Amino acid sequence: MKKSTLMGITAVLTLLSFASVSSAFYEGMPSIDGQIQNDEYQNHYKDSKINMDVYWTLDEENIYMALRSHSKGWIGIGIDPTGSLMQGADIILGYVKDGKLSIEDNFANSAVNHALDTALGGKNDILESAGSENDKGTVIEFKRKLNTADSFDRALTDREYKVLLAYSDTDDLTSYHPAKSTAFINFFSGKGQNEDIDNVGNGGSIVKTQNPTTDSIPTEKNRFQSFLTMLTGIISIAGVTIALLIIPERGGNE
Amino acid sequence: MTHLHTISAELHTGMLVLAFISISIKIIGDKLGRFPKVTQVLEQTAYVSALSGLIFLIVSAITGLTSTWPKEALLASPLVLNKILFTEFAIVFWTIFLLIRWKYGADLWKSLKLKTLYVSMATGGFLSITLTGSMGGHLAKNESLLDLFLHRAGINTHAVFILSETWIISILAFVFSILIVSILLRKKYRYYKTRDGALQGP
Repeated sequence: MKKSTLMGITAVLTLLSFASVSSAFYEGMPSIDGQIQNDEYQNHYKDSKINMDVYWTLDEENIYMALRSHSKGWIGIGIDPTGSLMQGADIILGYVKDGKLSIEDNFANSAVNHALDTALGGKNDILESAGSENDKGTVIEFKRKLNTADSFDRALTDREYKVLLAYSDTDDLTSYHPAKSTAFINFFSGKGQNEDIDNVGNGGSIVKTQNPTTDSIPTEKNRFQSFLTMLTGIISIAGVTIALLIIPERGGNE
Repeated sequence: MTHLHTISAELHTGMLVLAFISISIKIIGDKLGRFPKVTQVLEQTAYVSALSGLIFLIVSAITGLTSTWPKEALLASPLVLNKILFTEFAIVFWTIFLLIRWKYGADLWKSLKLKTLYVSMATGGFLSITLTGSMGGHLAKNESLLDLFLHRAGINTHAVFILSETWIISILAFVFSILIVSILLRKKYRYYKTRDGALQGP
């Protein structure tokens, strides 16, 4: 066989094998349809504290994620809070109502608040989404880039992230979450563990002690000062009123 | 209970704004010397709506503290601390407003001092509930139309409003000084002048 023929066959076989591997890789991507099939996702973290599931699969550019709760209200995930409570977390949350998914790309702009990325000057980076709700609970699925280049999103890399998980029994996204939990997950290695519960998730003892900053949270002294300010205000308003009532009016017709 | 907070917040805001608007129109009407019957009705409207508004304001404060967020989250938010602060101020303003009207009746409008005090209380109460409403907007939806003005005025409702010890002492000293001066003035005034204007001793 000629050398050129051999090279041609080798090239074709190489291309075919590459194509088959590539197609197999991409065929393995989860479908964003609001349903979680067995083995659809490569990774699964079950938070037994609040009975919530997080599923995810990565490709070269994107993360495909599914969240499942056993409640019929909103469900959300907050990734990598940098401050106290939820501050600085890249949040995605949503709910299903009348079969229709409402999903939001949010950012926690304070310890207890979050706002739409778009409202803060960022962009909505949810590329695809779907959800479903039944008596067993709620499922939301979405796809976004690992690095969205949005300052209100976290670029996901191969490291462990503090992850906030929460859901509610109402669809009101501003309602407080009766169910919440904190986990530490490496989305690349697929390891995760709950902050409070040992040996949950799929392996790895990667619990870290967190040192949340307290800049934005009022300190005990701040709270006391706020209370003193309130008292001062009340005494001032009442005091000035009483003083004005005491002072006789010109002409004496008080 | 969260719904109760929402309802009571809407109700107190509406009623107290109605009280303030009624008082404002009453003042304008009196200044112009027109629509006496309308201004009379509005004066009574302000009293009734302020009373209902104050009740719902107190209900709103209680439900806000007990049924919205857990205590740990409430105390962790500067916005909530500020909201509590101005809610207390609003309660004090509107309580004094009602006490003045209750004690002096519609006759308060004949006294410049009482009239000024009454309108000041309504204005203070109105401004306080406007601020708390704006903070409520931030807590619920992360936005408020009032921000347009607040930001220009350099007011950031996300930072805890606190007075330093020096300011607290200074303000309290000032208020007590005014009280003492007013008591002394009253004694002096009574010594020389009675209510009918005649000069007499005690």
